[in-house]
Amino acid sequence: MSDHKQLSAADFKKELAETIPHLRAFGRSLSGNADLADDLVQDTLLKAWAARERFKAGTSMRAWTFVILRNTYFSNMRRKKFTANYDEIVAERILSAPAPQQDPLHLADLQRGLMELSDDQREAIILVGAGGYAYEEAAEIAGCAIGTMKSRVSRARKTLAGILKNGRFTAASEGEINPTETALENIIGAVDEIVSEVP
Amino acid sequence: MSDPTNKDEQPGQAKQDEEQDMIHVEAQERLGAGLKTMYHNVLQEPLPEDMLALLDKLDDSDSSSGSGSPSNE
Repeated sequence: MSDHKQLSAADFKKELAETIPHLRAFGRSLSGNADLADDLVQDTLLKAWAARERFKAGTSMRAWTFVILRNTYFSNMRRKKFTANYDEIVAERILSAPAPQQDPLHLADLQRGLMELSDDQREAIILVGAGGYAYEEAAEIAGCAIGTMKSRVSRARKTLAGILKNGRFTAASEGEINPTETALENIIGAVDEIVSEVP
Repeated sequence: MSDPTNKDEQPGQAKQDEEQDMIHVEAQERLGAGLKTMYHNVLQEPLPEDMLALLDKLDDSDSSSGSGSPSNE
């Protein structure tokens, strides 16, 4: 029996539906693949619905479901159920997207560059740089300290800027999994896998 | 006598550093704008039909699974 305030099924579903576009954007940036991202979103919706009693009314549905999605993604990555890769179709689509200001930055290159980053750096820069999350919220979603999140974002920005400047793409953006950065994070990742994917 | 190796006394070097900083800031701004655009482009897309259908079927998934515990698969 839970001791927190819960949403009714209808309200839960309404809030869940409102997060879908954000889940798709997060999933696609994270995986670099539109189909894979939509599969992830569907998994996330089912898991969230099944675990809805654990959701506390008044807290952020988006952050809660992001945790489910990223845990599902990283868990699947570890099990090699799928690999992150660069999606040419998505690349073509985003290549033709209207760019802000006089931005000459090719968004397809940006997505490909993201796939060159380690998983944790990619997640960090997507949450903070693209999704607009505060460091604190992003750290909560990623399950790390705020300082770690700041450091990841900083390194991701630097690495990504270097990649885009030099056009230094490798096989990593074409299907190989990037390892997490440190042994400690690998251990945390293994623990993460054991623990439920739902917050 | 001034020290020619002292950067503080070389306006040309200071200007070069300033220009480098500007380039760096501009690159980071472009990167930030690109990331936001990439993310927001997906937000603007219509939702796939199968995802909407899944939402409609969520209530049914309760009766079919018979349990409130989420799958870890």
